[in-house]
Amino acid sequence: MTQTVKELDPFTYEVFYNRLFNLLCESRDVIRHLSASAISRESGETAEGVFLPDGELVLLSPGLLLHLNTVARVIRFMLGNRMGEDVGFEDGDQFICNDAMVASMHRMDMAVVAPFFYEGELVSWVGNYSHVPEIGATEPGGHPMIATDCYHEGLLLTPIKLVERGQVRRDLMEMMARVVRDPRPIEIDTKAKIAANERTRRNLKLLIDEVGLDFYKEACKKLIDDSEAQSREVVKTRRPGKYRARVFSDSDLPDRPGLRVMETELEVGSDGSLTLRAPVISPQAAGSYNCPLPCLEGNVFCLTLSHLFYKTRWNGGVVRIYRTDIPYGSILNCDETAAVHYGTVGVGLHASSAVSVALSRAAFVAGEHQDILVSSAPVNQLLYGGLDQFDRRCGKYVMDCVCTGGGARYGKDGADSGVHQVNPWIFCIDVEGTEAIGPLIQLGRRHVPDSGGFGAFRGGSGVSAVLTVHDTKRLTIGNMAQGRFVTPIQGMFGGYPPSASRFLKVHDADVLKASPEDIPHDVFEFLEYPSGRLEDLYCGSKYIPIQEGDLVATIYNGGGGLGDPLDREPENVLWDVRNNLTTNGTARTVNGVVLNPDRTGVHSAETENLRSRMRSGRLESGIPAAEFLSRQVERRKNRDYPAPTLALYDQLLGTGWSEAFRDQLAFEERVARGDAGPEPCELRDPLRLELPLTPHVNVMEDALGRRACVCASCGHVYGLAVENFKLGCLINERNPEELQGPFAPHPDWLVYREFYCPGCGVQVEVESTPSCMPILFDVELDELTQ
Amino acid sequence: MNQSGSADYIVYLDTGGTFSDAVVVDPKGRFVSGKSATTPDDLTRCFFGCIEDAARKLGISSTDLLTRTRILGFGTTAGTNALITRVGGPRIGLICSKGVEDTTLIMRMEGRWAGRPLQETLHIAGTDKPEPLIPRDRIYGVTERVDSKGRVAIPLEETEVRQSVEALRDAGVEGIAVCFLWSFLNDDHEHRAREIIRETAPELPVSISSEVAPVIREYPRFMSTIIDLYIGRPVRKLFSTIGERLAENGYTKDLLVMQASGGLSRSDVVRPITTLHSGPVGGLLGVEYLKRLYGEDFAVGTDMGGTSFDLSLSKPTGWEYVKTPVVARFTLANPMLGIEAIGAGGGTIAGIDPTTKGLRLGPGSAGAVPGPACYGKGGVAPTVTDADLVLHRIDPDFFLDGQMPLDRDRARAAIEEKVAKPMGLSTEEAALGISQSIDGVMQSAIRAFLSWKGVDPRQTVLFSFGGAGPTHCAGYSLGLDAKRVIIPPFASTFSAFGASTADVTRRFEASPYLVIPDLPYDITRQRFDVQSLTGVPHETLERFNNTMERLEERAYGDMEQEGFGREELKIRYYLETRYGGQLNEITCRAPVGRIRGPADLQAILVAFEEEYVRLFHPGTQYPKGGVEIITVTVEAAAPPVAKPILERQSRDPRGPEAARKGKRKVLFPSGWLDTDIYATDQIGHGFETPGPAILEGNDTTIVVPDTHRITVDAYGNLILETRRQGDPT
Repeated sequence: MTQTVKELDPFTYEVFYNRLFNLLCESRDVIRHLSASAISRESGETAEGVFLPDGELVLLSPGLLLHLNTVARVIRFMLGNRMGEDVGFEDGDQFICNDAMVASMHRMDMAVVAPFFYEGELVSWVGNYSHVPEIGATEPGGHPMIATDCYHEGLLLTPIKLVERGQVRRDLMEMMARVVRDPRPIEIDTKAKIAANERTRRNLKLLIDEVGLDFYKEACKKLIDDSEAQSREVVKTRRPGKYRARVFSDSDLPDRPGLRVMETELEVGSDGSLTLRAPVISPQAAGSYNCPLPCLEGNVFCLTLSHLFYKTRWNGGVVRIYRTDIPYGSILNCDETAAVHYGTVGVGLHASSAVSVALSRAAFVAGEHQDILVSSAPVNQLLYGGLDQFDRRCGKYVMDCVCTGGGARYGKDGADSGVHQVNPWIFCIDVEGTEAIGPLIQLGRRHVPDSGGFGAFRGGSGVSAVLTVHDTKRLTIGNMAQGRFVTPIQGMFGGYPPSASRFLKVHDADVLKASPEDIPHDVFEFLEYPSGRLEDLYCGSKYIPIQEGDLVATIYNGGGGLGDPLDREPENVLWDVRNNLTTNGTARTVNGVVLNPDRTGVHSAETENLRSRMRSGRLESGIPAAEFLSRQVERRKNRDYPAPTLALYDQLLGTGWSEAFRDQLAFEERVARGDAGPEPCELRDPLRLELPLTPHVNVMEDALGRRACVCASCGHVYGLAVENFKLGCLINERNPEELQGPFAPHPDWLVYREFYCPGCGVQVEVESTPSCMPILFDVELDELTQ
Repeated sequence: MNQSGSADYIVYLDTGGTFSDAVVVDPKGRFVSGKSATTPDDLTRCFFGCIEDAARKLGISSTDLLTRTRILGFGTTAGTNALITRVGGPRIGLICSKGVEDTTLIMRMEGRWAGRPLQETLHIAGTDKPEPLIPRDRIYGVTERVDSKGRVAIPLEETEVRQSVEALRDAGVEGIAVCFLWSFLNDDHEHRAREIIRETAPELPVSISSEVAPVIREYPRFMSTIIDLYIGRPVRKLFSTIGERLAENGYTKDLLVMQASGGLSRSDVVRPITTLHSGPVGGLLGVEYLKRLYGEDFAVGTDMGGTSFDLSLSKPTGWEYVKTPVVARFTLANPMLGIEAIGAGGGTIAGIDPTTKGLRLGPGSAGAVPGPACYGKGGVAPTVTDADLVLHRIDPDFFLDGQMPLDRDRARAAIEEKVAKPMGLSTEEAALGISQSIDGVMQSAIRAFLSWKGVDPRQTVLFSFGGAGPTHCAGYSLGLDAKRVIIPPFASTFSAFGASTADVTRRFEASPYLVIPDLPYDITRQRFDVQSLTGVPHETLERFNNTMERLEERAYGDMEQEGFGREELKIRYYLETRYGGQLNEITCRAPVGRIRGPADLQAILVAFEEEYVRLFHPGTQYPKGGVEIITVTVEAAAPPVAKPILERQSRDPRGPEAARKGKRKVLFPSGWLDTDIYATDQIGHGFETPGPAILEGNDTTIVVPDTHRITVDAYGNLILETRRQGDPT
């Protein structure tokens, strides 16, 4: 007899969930404990799930939740390909897949799935994945920096039967081991995943023995339905409308950087749905700065879990409320020939950083301030391959790459070296761990002062790593990264983005023989290293040979800032200076705080004076939006932009590529001519607050009953809320080097476009943007524009 | 050890989170327990409060009791409290390898989530790292470096050490921790730095990482070293204050303190970090003790208190350790007995999911304050204890021996409003659901806990204790098919009882980091097959053997301080081992303590492989990768100290009638049943009754549903079983 959902005993259902969750955790731990991959073991990049017969995810263990939907996609691919009819799905079978276009995010993510039979019936699928660091690509460590298409990216396994009725196919395993440089991770991790699925099947059988098959089937479906309902309820707490953010990358091919843009638009539907679009987006890159659609989805689902659905049980129900509409052939939905190895924690995470800003704007408007989290940066990975200190072949990462700073929160700074945006349970291997598995000495792992985005609440600090090569006969080193010339994420509400990244190398450094005062331990000291030849490499660097005693250094970004830096509590600035997280110079020039010479206290009167002068200075340097746009129109006409910016401009205007971009340019021309823009209005008396749009801008009713945007500090009226309030601001484009010194993004690539209230000079927004780009309309609420 | 004299009693005290317990064991092995509310601001108050309470029950003065006590053991939360409250800890500084000054601030990126419930930390915006114990401006890096093979790569710059010490002294520090990378392989630099500190600032206490926790992975090692220094002062102060007051009251022998690794140590020589979190280990020791008494191999301890459900496992080889425990959200390198805590207890809050309208248990707990609704201290959320009260399983007038009357009406109101009404159920149905659900959650946790350790529940004996354990164990053990379910009659003070069975032990760990990349193996069996030591790097073997020897010598030296000679000690070796290429080690007992020939190595490898296959799955071995022995442990155990004796009792000739104190209706899944109520202190060997029955003791209530029966065995323990055929209905 089949039990209906209604008849499910609610108490047994709660217990059932616990049993299922526990057994998946156990299987996930089997993988982590057996794994030979630092990224699986240390950073937890693995998970185990159970799925409906049609592939929909019932429940996933904790782990890297990026893969919320990927293993499901493998199963659905096999079903869609009707593999059951000829290849066959038998009890005891297991299949392996690492095809990014099917499901996995890039070749290193290997999924293993298995049908689960109970009394002869296929009642579920079980499956997992983990990340292996070496995959036999054209360069070691899984990330072939020189790859220009998918055929350079190493071993490719479309779903293939690896275990037949419980027997591992040794021929296939040996083939897999043979095509990679270091066979240990792929062999050990594949065994681990097979063992984990076996463990899940064993424990599932015990569970069904206890609760009965009918209950099991119904409860699995109910878990998904419940999550969908819970997710929709949460989305409905946000105000329907479109929330946008734009981010930029400088990644294309190693040694050939190029600007790329992603404008993400997240539409909150009144039915509790979320739709993700990318109206302005670059075409897919020549190198690996590309993201297949499954990978984008994974990043965005995962981000949404930690922003919105953190009380929901994660499964296919969360997936059901999402729709994506991304142009095919773009960097976020590339074609099947593209190289994609930097798709996961690079492009995908980059896109999710934009979504993070969009979600935070939605959270603010809804008054859900606890959910505001400015974004963290994509991951930059230092890679190496060759022989280790025990003469074993190796191809690995330096795991410091996960040490990114957290974005600022509402009323709180971002966590210093504390947040990996899509892995809430991230873990960075100890320095001794790094040196145990590779021929390296890590001379430094330090916070980088001023690396977090400035703001009333600053972004969390990033970290710099300095390493030297030690005890090897042969090693090459590369870097998969972006953010040398741009800063890849944004700040919010007047806060700045974090500083940019670097990949530096000193040839012939012989550092272990240097005098103690010359040995560098962070990126600042690195730049001062007196001997050898310093090379400031583009972040995305192909592999280059490196000698014993040579030096490399990288910066892992901080998080984005929130709010006007002149509103930062002076005592917090003092604390930062004392804790080496900011410098005296920044305290003064960015935060307007004057400290006592011995750094023991804040000089309050001078601080107040300085801040007042700085706000007045903004009113002088900022120009009205219409005038700013007139200049922009002129510059566009005259192609008066630095070369990298101009290249982006041409790329977007390329044949039929971005209609949205053309529309935005046309709109700005109308504003410049005075044919569009915020309509002036007068507020109704007494004042009536409709809603706060940002911490600096309220929506209020005007004398005619319409809605207007108003400065929350001084009451200045920007104009009717149907238009972007930024068009009522004073605008100033600042060279980032004025603020962020040696690690600022390059001014030819990016400027900080600051928006000030014309009434009081408060900085309401900052866009980190190539100067050719139109002003972004961040929040377009249905209730204000319809 | 000087434990002679005419004293009679063994006393053990355990200062817990809410209550402190004392167990006094008389020469015949009988127990009296003393209880007192824990006084975190001054633990001496509850310490002597417990002793007074126990003495009162014995009908003697506390001075009489102490004068006649021959062993006095103490498990304390003083270190944990100092760490959590940050009160009483000294202002300390850190000197570390230059370049890694931010190690304890970066916290391996785990600071936001380690030691917190997983689901809570998914919300990134809502979670932060803990406040550091040493802020960045009291951390100094000095030039020095040892590499991964223990060789000096950069010599120590002694001038920088001196300058750092001076700067720290100027900053007013009261102690300095010294933590260098790879110091567990080569401790010369740390020792030299300590010498310099002693020359420059002789008044400052120093803690060095190669002594506190000489094991690989710097973050936990640094934290252990810092915390050892940080809690040292309050912990030592407490011990000396207690020692003085004990002496004034007639106890002049050694005060022994419990270590988190399970052994006792003299309070004047104990390393403070080893006392951290030692409270809950008593339960585990008690399980171990009773397990041996019953001649069993596997036992699982289940301790259900107000906020957590603690699980521990005792295997034939003894208990297990957590290698890098998390205490106060910092990860440490000092192993502690393996206790897994799940958020389920009497105070677990029940509620409704706003969307699905289904029941949700936890993750919140009402704690002691405000506590469950029935406490009447302001709690309005329904809890598991409230459900027990509504089901009439707990007598509101007999909670904690009647000292704390409960309010059933408040319990009913809370369940009705927050669970029953929204679900369209009666209050009783909702209460029954809450009770069954929490039992199911705990049963699921036991199953997962054992499954992960490769232990079949049917092989194990399940011990139930803690204030709420006996009330729920019939529920949470149902379906596990454990060999036997045993409830000690002193369930709520079981931890203190267990601790009174502890011996004096020492464990020392170090990482020799023995890497053997290539070893011969049988390709079909996938097992190592070592016939000679050719190809095994000589210097690493030597390091392994030297490490073992050094640890043994430390163990001997320490035990000598405790008063034991070498010949009295039992030495055991444990290895943290993995296949080459793997990143996680497993622990196995080593059959030998030195590798002097191929047979020794092969014996170690076999021990490793057997444990590996048992834990994971046959076929998962990877001998192709060679082997890496990362960390070794030497454990030295002194001869057992005199223990409480659970003597076999003769059968109590009185039938169950003698203990019956009444009857009431109690709600079970089969309905409201007339249930006999018995007084636990009136039952003896031979007592037996089928359910439904309730046995009320002065601090815990045992629930026997109609599906079960209960008997008292010769040791006075209660054995809970499912009903037999023929039991009266």
